[in-house]
Amino acid sequence: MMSRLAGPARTMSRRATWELWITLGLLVVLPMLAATDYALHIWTRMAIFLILLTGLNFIQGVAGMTSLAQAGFFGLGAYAAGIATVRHDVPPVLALALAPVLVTLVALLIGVLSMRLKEIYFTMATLGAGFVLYLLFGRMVELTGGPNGLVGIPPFSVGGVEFTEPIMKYGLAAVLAAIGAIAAHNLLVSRTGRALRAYGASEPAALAVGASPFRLRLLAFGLSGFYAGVAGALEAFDSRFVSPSTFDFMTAVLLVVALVVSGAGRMIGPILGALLLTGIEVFAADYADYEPLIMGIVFLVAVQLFPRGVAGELAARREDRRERAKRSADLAADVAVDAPTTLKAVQR
Amino acid sequence: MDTGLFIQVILSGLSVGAIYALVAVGFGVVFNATGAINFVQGEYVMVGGLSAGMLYEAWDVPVLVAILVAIALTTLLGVLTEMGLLGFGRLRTPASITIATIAIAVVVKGAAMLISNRDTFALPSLLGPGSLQVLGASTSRQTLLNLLLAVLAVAALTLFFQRTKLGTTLRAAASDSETLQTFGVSYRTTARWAFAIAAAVGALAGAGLAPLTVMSFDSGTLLGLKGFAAAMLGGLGNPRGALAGGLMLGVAEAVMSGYGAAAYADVVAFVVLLAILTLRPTGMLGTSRAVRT
Repeated sequence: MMSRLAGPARTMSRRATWELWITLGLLVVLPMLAATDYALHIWTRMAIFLILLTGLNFIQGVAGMTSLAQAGFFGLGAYAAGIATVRHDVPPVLALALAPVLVTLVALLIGVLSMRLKEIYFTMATLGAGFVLYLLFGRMVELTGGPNGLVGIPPFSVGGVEFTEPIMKYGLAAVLAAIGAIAAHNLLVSRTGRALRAYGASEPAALAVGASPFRLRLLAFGLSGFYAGVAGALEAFDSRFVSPSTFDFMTAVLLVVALVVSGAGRMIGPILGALLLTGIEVFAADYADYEPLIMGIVFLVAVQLFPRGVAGELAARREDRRERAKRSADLAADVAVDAPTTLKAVQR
Repeated sequence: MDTGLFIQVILSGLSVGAIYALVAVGFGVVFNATGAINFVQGEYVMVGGLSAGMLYEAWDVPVLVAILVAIALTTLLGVLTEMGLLGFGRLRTPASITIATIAIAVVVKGAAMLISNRDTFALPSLLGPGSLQVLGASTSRQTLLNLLLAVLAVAALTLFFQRTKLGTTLRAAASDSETLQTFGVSYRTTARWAFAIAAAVGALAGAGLAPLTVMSFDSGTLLGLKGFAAAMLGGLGNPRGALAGGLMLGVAEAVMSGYGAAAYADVVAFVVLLAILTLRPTGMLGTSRAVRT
């Protein structure tokens, strides 16, 4: 399969594989650098962000459509897992398996309704969907505990073993994040992934070769929901408490901006974005009052400097250079080929 | 059904709906000039209401003066928004401008939080504290003023877009900005006017809202998004559509909270947004712009 790919597609899939190895490497190396309970807690948060952003990357990066529903989906996963275990005594393993299924179904429903819209209208539809979810988390007090949050979520457990130690929590999140990244990589370099990517680059071109944008985009959106569901359930079992404010509009924006700034559509984007978000969270704890102002300025500068993301910008510059070199080489060749003819014309 | 209560509900809906209409007008003006959705719009309302309230409560400035100064300040903020977005010359596509407006909205909100010290401020009504009796229901005089403001603003903007040279230029920018540039009209100049007008209208909305509810640094976001839902409902970019959409949304919310489901009133706007995008994305009064792929 791989050997049949030629030119840019092969370069791309080779690059994606490298970036996957970096992602997996970081998941192993980071906890070795700092393994205190606090550090492991931070790394667990990072792994959860990684899952969220890997999911968001399908719709945002690969299909090229901005979704502001990811925070709402994240919350839906967390509340689904929390409510199932607290109110209905569902075993945590089952809750972790069912939450993503529920979120995927909701994402597909919203996707069916909004996927045919142009990019900016699709974004606003996802914003609406995310906001409805966020408002429901706070208003369905009987079920969710309302603004005060849902308390008493049990730790994750398998066969009587409770995942309460920070290292176990990290292990669970990291293993799921790794599986998610590998699956994303395999999809990205597959035929479907390349078709999906084609819409990000040029929709008319994709339509011309007879692919269906609607079904591919729906697939991407469903996947972003599935990953958000996994991340949400992990979040519920990690914090053992969920409240609406974690999943507000600001979170939705942060997720998109972190991914765009790091490099949407690239395999490396989600891990860079996850590190960025984790950094912000740690930093925010110290400077609560100045956090929004500083974050806003940083985002504005980042968006102005790297409209295509850090990774994307670097790649684009490399390509520009290559393109320019190729063009001047072509020009030289043209001149060389044309020279005798031109000479004759002049002589005549 | 109790007609008194019903009329009361409708009136309070119209009062808030007029504010949504003004916010929706602001979204439309910027959308027409740039093709982008300006997430700072809600923050203009917050800055307008909050600064007028601060001037009045903390500095004892007369209400009318406070409102005028607040509108001037917010208009300046609109011009600054344009500079922050387009001044670096790198953002050109509507999608990238939209993302950058979110960043600016966060900056404005963060700055307002520090400046206001998280305090809340309010304004008295320009028409005094008394209430109006309408068909057996009583409502604050501000209701009347807000409706008047919204209708006047929409009428003034419609005239401006149809009858003045600048307005015509802005409409031309909406329909074909590249051709307009070949005539020597700068994209940035039209964009700057659009942002300034949007901000001024937003501040007006803030001044109309401050007598109805207290303003704080975080009043803007939800309001902005509801105003956007109203804009989509009426047809984004159409001032009369904005008025219709805003009033309908306000009444729908008031009916929701007046008849038992107050907790879910905020959800209405977003359900409306999803429904209109799904069923008729050009809005009720919108033109047949391509919104589907």
